Amino acid sequence: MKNESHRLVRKAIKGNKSAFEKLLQMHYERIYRTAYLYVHNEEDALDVVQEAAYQAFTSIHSLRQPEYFMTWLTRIVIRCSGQLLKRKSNVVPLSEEILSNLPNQTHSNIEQSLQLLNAIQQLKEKYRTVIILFYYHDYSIKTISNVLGIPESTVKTYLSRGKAELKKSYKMEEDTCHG
Amino acid sequence: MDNKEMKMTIDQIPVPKDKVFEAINKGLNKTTPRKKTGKKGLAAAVMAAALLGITVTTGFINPAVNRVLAKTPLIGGIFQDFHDAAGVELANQHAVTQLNQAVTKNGVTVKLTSAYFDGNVVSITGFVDKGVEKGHNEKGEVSFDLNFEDKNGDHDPWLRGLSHGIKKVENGYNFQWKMEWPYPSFKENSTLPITIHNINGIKGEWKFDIPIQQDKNRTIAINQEKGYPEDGVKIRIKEILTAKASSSIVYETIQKYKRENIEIEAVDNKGKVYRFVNGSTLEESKQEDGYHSTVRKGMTKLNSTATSLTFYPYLSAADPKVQKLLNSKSFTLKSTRFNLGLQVNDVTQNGEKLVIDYQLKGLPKNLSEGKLETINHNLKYLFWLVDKEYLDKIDPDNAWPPKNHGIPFNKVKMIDKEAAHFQSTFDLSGEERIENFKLENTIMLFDFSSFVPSKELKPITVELPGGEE
Repeated sequence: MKNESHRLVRKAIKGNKSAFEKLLQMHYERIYRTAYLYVHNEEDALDVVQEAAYQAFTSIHSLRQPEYFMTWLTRIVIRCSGQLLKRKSNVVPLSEEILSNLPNQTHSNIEQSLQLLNAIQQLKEKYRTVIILFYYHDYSIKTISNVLGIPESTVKTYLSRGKAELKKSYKMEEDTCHG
Repeated sequence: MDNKEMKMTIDQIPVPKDKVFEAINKGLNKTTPRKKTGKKGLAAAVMAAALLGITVTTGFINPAVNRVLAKTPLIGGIFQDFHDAAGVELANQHAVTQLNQAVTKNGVTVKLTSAYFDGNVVSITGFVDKGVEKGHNEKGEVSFDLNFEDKNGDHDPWLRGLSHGIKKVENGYNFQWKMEWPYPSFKENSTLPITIHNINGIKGEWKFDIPIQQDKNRTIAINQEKGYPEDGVKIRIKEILTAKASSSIVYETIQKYKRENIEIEAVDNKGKVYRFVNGSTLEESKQEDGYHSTVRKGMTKLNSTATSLTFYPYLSAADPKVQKLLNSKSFTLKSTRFNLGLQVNDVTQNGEKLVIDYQLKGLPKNLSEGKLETINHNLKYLFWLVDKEYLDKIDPDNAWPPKNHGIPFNKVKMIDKEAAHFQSTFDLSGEERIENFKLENTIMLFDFSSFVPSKELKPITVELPGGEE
């Protein structure tokens, strides 16, 4: 799979659009969910996917190392999400719509998931990005530092502050729910 | 909280696969807006890929879809594969027409299996056998070149709102085409002729006549208008149609400036949020009071107990591109509508590179890092260099510099943050270039629109006459 992916990346760098489309399709869930974590509604997340696909394809020739494709693409998705939020400067709150879209699990699980998504949404943007990259994308501190172009020490600080805030609001909501 | 919990939570965010694929496809095709030569353009080709073993679904099933599926007739299964909740609902209500039309040409069999017409949405599902794998696409990809009615190539209003899904099944692929009814008035019963010209490069033709029918929609006439003289915009909410599984809205915008984008969200008196998707332009005209455009958009199904609906419009202002012949080294360009300017300090050609040194004027002071980064990024796309002889060859409906006569990208370097001072470098020998480049024959175009944030317009509340037919 990895080799297949690298082969596609190399083709894409040379400007092969169909290879590039396949690559994005291979990672569509991750791309979409990353966008969704920022914009919190389907329509905007799809706009981000579209814009990121466009921006990525117009600049993929500048990608030197195929193995960094995903981190490079993630950076574009995050940037496009940020651009969209800034343009709209209205953050759509987590609504019942999301609740009804969540898979049919036990009720408490849904509540917990919602709390966590809510808590992520409330984080400051820089903390949120680091948290998403670390926990969802499984990137190392070093990779995150490369992706965001900030020193590793700053990544560590953001991560621990983000975690602390997340715990605080997650915990607080849990307390309110159970209390 | 640990990684696993976080991941599991995030993985529960439902992903509308066909829409994501469509967004990817649209994003990529934005980079080649120039149509290919020959009688059919890109838009006439529908392509989707069912990547074998790669796009294994997460097992996520929308609970609403899941619940009803148990009692859904067989045809509902295909809608579930394409995450089409409306399709599943219609299958339950027995409002989907089952078809059994098969045509074989050049060793490829196409069978159309179902059709529904609900509100403004027309869906057709079908199956194409594995004969398509002999075509020039890679395995797992299926692309149809097709037209509806007697239309040809890109001049087919059905193609504008077409989305598609594909799924590998035994011996071939299932597919769904979803279209928007492209005309101002509805026909409740009609047949839709379809011609597939080629599939994966294999020539046809495969011809079908598909019955499409639906019961009468519930139409609520609204005809309420609000003007925003300061922004040169008027919005007229015309009507809402509610069908079995979906609603759609028709509204008209009247704008002083062309190409401005108005997005609308709505909330009813019970707090239900409505989103509007896709949309077909039913009528467009330029009149004395501005550019009129009537659109029909799909929307979340209208709650039958709602008594009022409040619309929240957002306006993304457009500023016409400004332009200047590069026959001088320094000049200033001003935005047509906003208090923004571009002061060009120097234009230098170094062999195959052209460097433009400039400052942005009128931006707010103390821009945040993030905002600067965004500007820095956007600047890559905001300049176009175009051969002056080819300026009128830019298609206004699909604006892009003419191939071999324009450069749409540049590399940006920030020189001084405080002074909003940047340098853009254009590659004169890149893939996008200007043949026989001469500075004095080159026009620089600049777009200020992206520096203006979208604006929330005052909401419009309309009363809904309950149950009116």
